[in-house]
Amino acid sequence: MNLRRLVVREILHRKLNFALSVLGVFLAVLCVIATLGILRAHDAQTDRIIGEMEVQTRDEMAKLEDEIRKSMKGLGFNIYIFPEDQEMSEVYAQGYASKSMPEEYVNKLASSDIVTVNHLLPSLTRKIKWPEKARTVILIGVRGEVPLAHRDPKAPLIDPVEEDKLVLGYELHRSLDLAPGDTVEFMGESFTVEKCHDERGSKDDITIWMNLGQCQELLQMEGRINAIQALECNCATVDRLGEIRKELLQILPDTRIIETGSTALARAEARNTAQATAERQIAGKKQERARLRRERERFAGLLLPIVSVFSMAWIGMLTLTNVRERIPEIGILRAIGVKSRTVLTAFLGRAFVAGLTGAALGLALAFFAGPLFEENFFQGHSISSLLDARDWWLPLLLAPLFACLAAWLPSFHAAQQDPAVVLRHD
Amino acid sequence: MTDPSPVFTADNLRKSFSTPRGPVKAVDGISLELAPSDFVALHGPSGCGKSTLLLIAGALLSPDEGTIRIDDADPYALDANGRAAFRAANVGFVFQQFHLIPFLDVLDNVLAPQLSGREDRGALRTRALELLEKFNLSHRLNHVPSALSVGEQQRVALARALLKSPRLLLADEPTGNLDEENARVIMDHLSEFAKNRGAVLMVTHDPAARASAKRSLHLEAGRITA
Ligand SMILES: Nc1ncnc2c1ncn2[C@@H]1O[C@H](COP(=O)(O)OP(=O)(O)OP(=O)(O)O)[C@@H](O)[C@H]1O
Ligand SMILES: [Mg+2]
Repeated sequence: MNLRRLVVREILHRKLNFALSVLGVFLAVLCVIATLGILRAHDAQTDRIIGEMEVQTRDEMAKLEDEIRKSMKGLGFNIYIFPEDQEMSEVYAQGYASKSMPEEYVNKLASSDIVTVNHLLPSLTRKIKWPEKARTVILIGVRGEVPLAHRDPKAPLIDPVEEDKLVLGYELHRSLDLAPGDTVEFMGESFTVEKCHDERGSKDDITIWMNLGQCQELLQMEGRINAIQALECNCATVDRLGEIRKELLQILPDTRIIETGSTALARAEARNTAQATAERQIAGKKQERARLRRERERFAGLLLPIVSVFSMAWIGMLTLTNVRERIPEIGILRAIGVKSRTVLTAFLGRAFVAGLTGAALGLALAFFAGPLFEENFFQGHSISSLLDARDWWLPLLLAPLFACLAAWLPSFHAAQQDPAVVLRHD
Repeated sequence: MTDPSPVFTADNLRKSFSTPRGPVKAVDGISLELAPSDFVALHGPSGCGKSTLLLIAGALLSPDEGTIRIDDADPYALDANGRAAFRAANVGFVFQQFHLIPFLDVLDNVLAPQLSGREDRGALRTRALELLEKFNLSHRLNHVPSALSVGEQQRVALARALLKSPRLLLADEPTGNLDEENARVIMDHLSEFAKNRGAVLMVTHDPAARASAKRSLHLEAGRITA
């Protein structure tokens, strides 16, 4: 005779009470496993959806990029050539280069046999005070196109400004009330207004264009320019900037080459926009999935405590019933010298076995019947793929502990029974 | 009484219970001594304190006043666990209601005192089988109590009480539920236990049972009057 035998015999004797305790644990464990499975299925489904979207985006982007690269090969594009020591940040900040290089460079380029460049436009730009009018203007000296020696001279792309003529930006001619044909003083020289530009909404509106040579003279920068614009460049390869740099830097080693806006760039931008849109869509989907997950979690967060509490209360009540039924037995056991701790252990042991049995049955059912619910509850995922080893053995460990916890008070009550009181009613 | 050291002594025991109608003096100054082989029958009207005295003697209910000694030791000087161990080793109980454990078979019921602690399991099992043989229950070893006659049930209870060979056997109306024949068998076994240097303190209303005892004490309102 030992305690284990006492527990087992009693369980076999009062099967109904035990079976009801097992049922309580069984349902609770089933609930936990189902909830866990549903949450895991959600996560797996999210991964699947997002993964598919990402693969699709990647494929589409690759295709788009490929198309753009192919189409860019044939497209003309524009570059700027600056002095090598020019800080680009400065160019971006003030709109022109402050460093200068010899005007000779443009001739050197023009007389080379460079094939990638079509039009060359040297310029000298400075922000200065218009002394006579006391206002800040951007002065650009332009020379028009420098024809490439190895080809037929082309028609100039930009009108060269003749000597003693000025072209004025909108803000300047509007505020100074100037019109083509008017004469105006600029840095002590007299100029005729050749042309007045319409409003462009950029710094062009405060710009004065003049003949390059005259501009150099006025600024005392004879023979200097600070940028060469090369228009409609053409390259044979996809890496056009690399190709053009290689060619140009052989001729003008102390310069730097920057690409500016072009159709090709616009396409690349379109591609970036497409990518950004796709990423936004993915982010949106993720957010939506996360919201759904939070909802499910909230539901689980409500359901699981309720199920646990009910199941524990259920076991506590059944244990109390069991204790009540066994008062005479407890009395006699205590009378013949069984310690109260042993009585406590007997009742807790019973709860432990109920917890273990209920958990084992619940897990077994989840394992074997799970496949029947995959479609409806687990979004097509198999329960065994959703739950890892820990998800299986943890309930097996925790259910008996929770059952013991639930049975604790009634078991303690049993252990505290005074045999004298129990046996007096004989 | 050849043995000078008694199995059980009670010295001026008092026990009262508080009830809604004031305190009830259940035991009111009882002194008693049981030598080895002594067999005492207690009788008296209902409520005179017989069961209370038995519980005090069995180390189950501490008296308000007075002391008891079993084999020269005071169980009430021990803590609860010590007293439980003391009961297991020194005292056997038999009740009118038998108090067998319903889901254990006869052998397990007799071996139930094993739950009180580690002992030589083999020896106790042998002893249990001997007792059951002696009580003519060998053919019932694997039956549960509900399958037994009342006489058989009381014999199982007696075997359980005697398993650890206690010095003191306390019996509260052990024949109260039995017919004449079964009552006689139980009384014979109690007498035999007493003969083997045990001491028996038995509450009984049954004149035949009283006749089996060596001496008989009459209780009245918590006192021994004869
Ligand atoms: N735990 C208790 N609380 C209150 N009163 C008690 C308690 N135990 C016993 N009594 C009272 O003490 C008195 C003696 O009770 P006891 O059970 O010892 O009587 P008894 O002689 O065994 O009676 P019976 O022959 O009916 O079994 C009774 O009046 C009883 O009501
Ligand atoms: Mg009584």
